Amino acid sequence: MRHERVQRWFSRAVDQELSPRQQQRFAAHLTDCPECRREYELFVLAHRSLARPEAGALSAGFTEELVARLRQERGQSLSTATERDAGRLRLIAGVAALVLLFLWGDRAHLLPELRSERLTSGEIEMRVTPWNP
Amino acid sequence: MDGKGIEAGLIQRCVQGDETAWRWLIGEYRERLFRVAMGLLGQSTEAEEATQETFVQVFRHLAGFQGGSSLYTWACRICINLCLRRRERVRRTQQREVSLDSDEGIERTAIVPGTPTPEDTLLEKELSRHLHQALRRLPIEFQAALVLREIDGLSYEEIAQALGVSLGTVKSRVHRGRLILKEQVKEYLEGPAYAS
Repeated sequence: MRHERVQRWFSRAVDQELSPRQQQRFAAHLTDCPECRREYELFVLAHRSLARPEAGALSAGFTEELVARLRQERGQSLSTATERDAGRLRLIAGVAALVLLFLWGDRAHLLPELRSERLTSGEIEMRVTPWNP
Repeated sequence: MDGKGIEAGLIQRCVQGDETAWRWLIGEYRERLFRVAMGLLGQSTEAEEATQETFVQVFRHLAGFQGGSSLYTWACRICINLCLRRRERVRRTQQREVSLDSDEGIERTAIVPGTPTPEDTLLEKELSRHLHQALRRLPIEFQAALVLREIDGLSYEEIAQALGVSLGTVKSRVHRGRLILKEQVKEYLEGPAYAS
């Protein structure tokens, strides 16, 4: 097996992605090739060392500080939503008022005409019957 | 209910402002996101700030989360972008001199696989510190892929989703990054090939 091919398998070996046959060939080559064996050991060491956590930790108050900040953000976004809803309600109320005004105004305009028609109709004159004992 | 269903329920509760849900989410993700941020920033204070900012961004945009990836993968992406922007800002205002450690006081031993000795443990500790510094000198695309794979332990598929690249690209970046760091290990233990 060629060195370049074996070294291309390093990641797959570390990730345990080699098939059983490939593992056999890989292991056999490393047994016979000190150079590749050495390279693979260094590769594994790098992988293992990198996975080691670095010094450092979250502070004890991290979660409480974060929750307080999120509450504040939430409070701001709630106010904004309430103001938006209030604005929409005002708009709807205004449109409704205009519609009602229009309808009322339209009917009010019609009422006097109706009244005058009744006064001039013959039915009203007939209602007024002279008393004739 | 499967994992996706549970996650969807959690997201809904968070969006509705359920503080218990927030706290659960923070508890689940904070350590992992902190380690990712540490891998990219290398400083505890910076990493903590980036982690906090990541959660703030997650909660601001959670209502718009489409579910194309897992919630954690999405949060990872936000964390990486925040960390990289933070590093750019620092790089513009600071000059940082990083040098390879010399071999003062560190006994370099041959690598013998098997049960680690105390000397091996100390060596690995120092080597780990050196490699994390070297990681942060790699091209950014390699760093992000390596941090998510080697430090956070994500699968290649998850890393592809987090970074928005193909699976093949992720595997290539991880492998090439590992090869570069392998050479760092070699130099650290054996010295540069050209040294007299």
